[in-house]
Parts: sequence; C-alpha cells; structure tokens
Amino acid sequence: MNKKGLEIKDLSISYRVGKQSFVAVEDVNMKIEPGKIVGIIGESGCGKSTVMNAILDTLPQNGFVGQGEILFNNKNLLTLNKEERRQMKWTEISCAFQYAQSAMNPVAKVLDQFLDAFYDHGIDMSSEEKLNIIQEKIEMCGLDWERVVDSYPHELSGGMRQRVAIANSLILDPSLLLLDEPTTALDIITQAFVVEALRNVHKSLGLTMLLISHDIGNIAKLADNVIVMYAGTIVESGTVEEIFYESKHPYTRGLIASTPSLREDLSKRKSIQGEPPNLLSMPEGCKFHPRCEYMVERCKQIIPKTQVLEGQHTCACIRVDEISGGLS
Amino acid sequence: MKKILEFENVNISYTKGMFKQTTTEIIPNINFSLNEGEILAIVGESGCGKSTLAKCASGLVKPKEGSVRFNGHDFYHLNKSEYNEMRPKIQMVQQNAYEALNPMKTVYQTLAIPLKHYGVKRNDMKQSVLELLNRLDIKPAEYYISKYPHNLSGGQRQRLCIARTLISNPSLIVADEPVSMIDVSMRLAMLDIFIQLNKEKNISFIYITHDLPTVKYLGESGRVIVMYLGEIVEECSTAEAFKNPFHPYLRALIEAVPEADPRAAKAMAAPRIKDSEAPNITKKPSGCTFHPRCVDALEICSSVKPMRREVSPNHFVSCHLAKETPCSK
Repeated sequence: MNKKGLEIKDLSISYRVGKQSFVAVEDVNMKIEPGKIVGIIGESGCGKSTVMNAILDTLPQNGFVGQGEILFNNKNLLTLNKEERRQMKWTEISCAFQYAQSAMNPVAKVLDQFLDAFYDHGIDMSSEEKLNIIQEKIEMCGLDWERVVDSYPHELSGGMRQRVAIANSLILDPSLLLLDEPTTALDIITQAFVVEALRNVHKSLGLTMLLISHDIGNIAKLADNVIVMYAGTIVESGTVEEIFYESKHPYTRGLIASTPSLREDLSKRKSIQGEPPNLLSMPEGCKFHPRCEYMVERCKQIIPKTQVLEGQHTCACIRVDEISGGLS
Repeated sequence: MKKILEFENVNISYTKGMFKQTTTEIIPNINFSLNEGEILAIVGESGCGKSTLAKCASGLVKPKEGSVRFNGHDFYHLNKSEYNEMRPKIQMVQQNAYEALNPMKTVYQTLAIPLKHYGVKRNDMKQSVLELLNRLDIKPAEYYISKYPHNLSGGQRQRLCIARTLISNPSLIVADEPVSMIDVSMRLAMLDIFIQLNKEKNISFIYITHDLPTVKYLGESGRVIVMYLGEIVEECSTAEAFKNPFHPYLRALIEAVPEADPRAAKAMAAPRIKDSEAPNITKKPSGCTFHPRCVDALEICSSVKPMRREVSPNHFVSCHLAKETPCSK
C-alpha cells in the first residue's frame, strides 16, 4: 500500500450562531507523516473534532472553513467538489466514531453494512473475494468472524461494535484512518481490547492514523506523535516522548499532571484550576492565561506564536524559555 | 468503629411484565458494611450491578430479601416519620449532572428550594446560596447565581449537584460515577472536594466507578469492593488492592489501566483475560461466574461456586485459587 501523509496549513474554522460567528479552530498547522499514529489531545470544546470534521467534509451546516489548506497526498481537499470528496471517503480517508452504536444501521446485519461500502464505490469483485477481505479485517480487529458477521448491531456488546466499526472503516484499504474518541464510554477492559485491535491494525496495514481522544493514557499507549489543543489552537506538538517527558507548555504539563496513575505516587497529581473558556467570550492574549500558574502581565496582551524548539517539538507560549526548568 | 450502613443477605431482583411476570436476579446475596467516615469504592464493569447497589443504598430500590441498615435501623421497614428523618442523611451524586438538574430552574432556584425546606429564612437565602457556591468553588458566585444549567460547564454542574446534596447535612453520600463525564483536567479537583468533605465533616462516601486510578487518588485508607455479575469477588483496603490484588478479575482490571507514560504504556501487554466483555447479568455462568473469562480457571471453577475466604487480615476473596495459594502475588 502506498502511504500518504496529511498536512494542514493555517486552518481556521468558524461556526455561525444567529447573526454572529465565532472561531472554533484558529490557525492550525500540522503535518502527519505517512505511517505514523498521531494523537490529538485536549478537553471538550477545544476544536479537535472540528478539525476532523473538516478533513472529512462533515462540518455541521453552520460551520465553514475560513481559510487554510488541507493537503492530502499534496492535493488540497478543500478545492475538490462534493462528489470527488465522497469518492475519497473509505478508499483514501476513512473514519470510526465514538458511539459505534449510532454509526451503524440498526436494522441491517453487520455483513450487509460491510458490503454497502463495496456497492457504494462500485467495486467489481466476486462475492467470495469480498467476503475474504471482510473476514480478514474482522479478524484483524480481534473479533470472532462467526459470532459477528450474522448479527445485528444490537446483538453485539459495546466493545465489539466499536471494533466492528473500525474493521468496517478498513475494508477499502484507506491510507488514512481518523478515529474520534474510539475508547471513550467503554469499560476499562474493553478499552484495552480496542487499543490492542488498533495496534494490531497499524502493525499489519501500516496506515496513517489520526487519533482524537481526551484519554491521555491511551494516547501514550498508541501514538508516535502528539498534538495538544486548547481552545481552538495548537499549544504544543511533538513526539510522544517529548510531550510526556519534556513538555514545555503549562497546559500540557497540567493535563499530564491531572491524570492519576496506578504505578506512581499520587501526591504530585493535581487538577488545572478553573474551567475551559467559552468560545463566545475568549480571553485576550494567550487563551490559557486565566488558568495558568505561570501567568504574567504580558500573557494578557500578547498572543503567543508557535515556536519550533527542536526537531518537531513546537510550543506556543511566550514564557517557554523562562519556565522550562522542570515541573514545580 | 461505628457502622453507618450495613447490607445483610440482601437480594435485589427486578420484575417485569404485567400479566406474566418474570424476575431477574441482579444481586443474589450481598453482605458488606460501611464504617462512619469511611470511603468505600465499588469497582466493576458496566452491568455488574454497581448502580443497582447504589440505588439500594440510597433508598431507591427496595431489596427483595434481607435488610439494609442505616445507623442500625432497617431502612426499608420504617414508619413515615422515622423515614423522613433518616432519608435526608443519605444523598446521591449522579453520573450525568446535566440530567440531574432541572433545566428550567436557575442556580439560585435549584439551591433555594431545598434550603427553604430546611428552614432558611427568606432574608438569609441569598447569603446561604452564595456561601454554598463559594464553598464549591463556583466563582464568581454572584455571576452564576442567575444562570441556568445549560450555561454552566460540565464540572460546574457536577459541583452544583454536590452543593445541593450538602444542604441536608448528610452523613453518607453515594456517588455513582461522578467524574466519568467531566474533563480530565478537572476530575481531580472534583475528587478533592470529596476528600475535603470526608475530612472536615466526616461524611462517609460510597464511590462507584470503573476508573481505578481515581480510587487510588481518593486515599489508600479507604476500602475497595470489586463486583462481578452481582457478587463481591474481592474486598480489602485500597492499599492492599493495588499492592496484592488476588482475584484474576481485579488483576485484569489493574493491568488494563493505561499509563500516562509512553515508554511504560507501549510495553504493556493486553490484560490477561479471555473475553473483552462480561456476559449478561441475567445469564450468569455456572460455578464461579468469572470462569469463562478467567485465564487461571481450574476444572472445579465451572461447577462449584467459590467460598469467600480471608487470604490475609481483612482481605476477602471469592476464588478457588485462594485455597491453594494463600496470599501469593
């Protein structure tokens, strides 16, 4: 399979609400190398799902892309028409969502839902070949073919449904898989099985994955690169080790420090103060300053620019050099 | 130590159907107690009966058999005046704070109605509401007092729910997955509120969750009950549960927790358990209910129900392996 990367340049997305509009995603730049798993972490409302919807062309009606480019295989997706983008779905870019239950047709059997994709893209294959592909993908996700294939979605458990949804997204050999909160709302053991299925898929197919989650533990387990978003902007990005061991932005540090662990001492763990900002009344200057413990007067006025620290590690904080001396 | 809540041989079943009634046994027989000022965590997957137990402990689901005693009185066999006196002492915090609040009532109304019931005069009302909001860190309180639940963030809604439970001055709070719908960065702040209330007012907590790290965060002095398909499979102190987990189910739960440390997390193997999901609670397997998923299952496990044994002081396990290897890893 040929591998294709994704690059997003200066992307801004706004939503219209009544007569006013507000910016949900602002000047987002990211580059996803082919064959890598990239995780986007951030709290609810930080714009991570909006970015994914823009890539998939599934923004809600009141959402529109203000500026920017989404380059997939050096082709700007935003200049393509509806039909061209529809043809790309599943064959080039596919996705799996958080609530697999609502992503499936409740009155069709699992097999029929898989066959739909072949039918929709007009793929000419004997039914035996189709079945072989489907079986291969279902087993790759750690599911029992016999158990799953003839069932209706309601006959499967939550974790199985999620894995069926992942298997379904793989059947036309896409080169980019987008996953929106694939483990949220599942039990802890089920989560571990879904993560294991994703690892297995990545190992056998080597495709590019964009994984959106607020579950920091699972991102640490899966991702090669991590992007941290806060209130519609990217505050820090880098390799998974840079983000977890050498994080520079106070928000990233806070986020990691607020994840309790079973193996470590918990006395240093604490929450970030305050609440994420409302998108309609965004703070001036650095958007994180009302919650930041390193805040100085300058932070209230200057909008921090993304600086490259070394290699792929970037950070958007004006005090990055002053506060980089380890976690207090 | 004084026992605040005792469950003795409690059986909880649901019946459904109008003409042809079918009974489903959710919890066949459960025994446990909660000491005054203790934090008890109930851990298990969805569908294992944790929430049913929480409802039973707070007086919402009547058990079919057995007695639930609160401060020594059988909760479900009280006369009306005794019940009215007892009931406010137990409060609940729900998982979905948005659904637990009345969307048509402002923050002020939400708190003022119960405050009025507990005898706060009209002139002092605003002051009392502000005090409650400030105590739960919903700041600036003056600003939020006239807001509706949809104006608040998830964390603030849950704080408002906790503020509301404190009005009746409870001695037990039953919290059913209180942090699972809150953003990660604010979860620990919510748990800090529980810890603070526990220390300052000596309120006992039943904390129901499937998120083990938060159990550890709540303090090693508490106790943990691990439930599987309506039965207690392991019961011990929190420190002991993470140091010497005994039951294969608890071990799998611990192994499944992802670490926020990429090197450690990438090295982790899949949890040692056979099936990713628990069977339906209405179709329990024979013998030890866990045996179809257990990697260490013996022949005896599929036919004989394991007894509850004490593997070390105050550490109870229901597992056949406990007989042969007393308190190994």
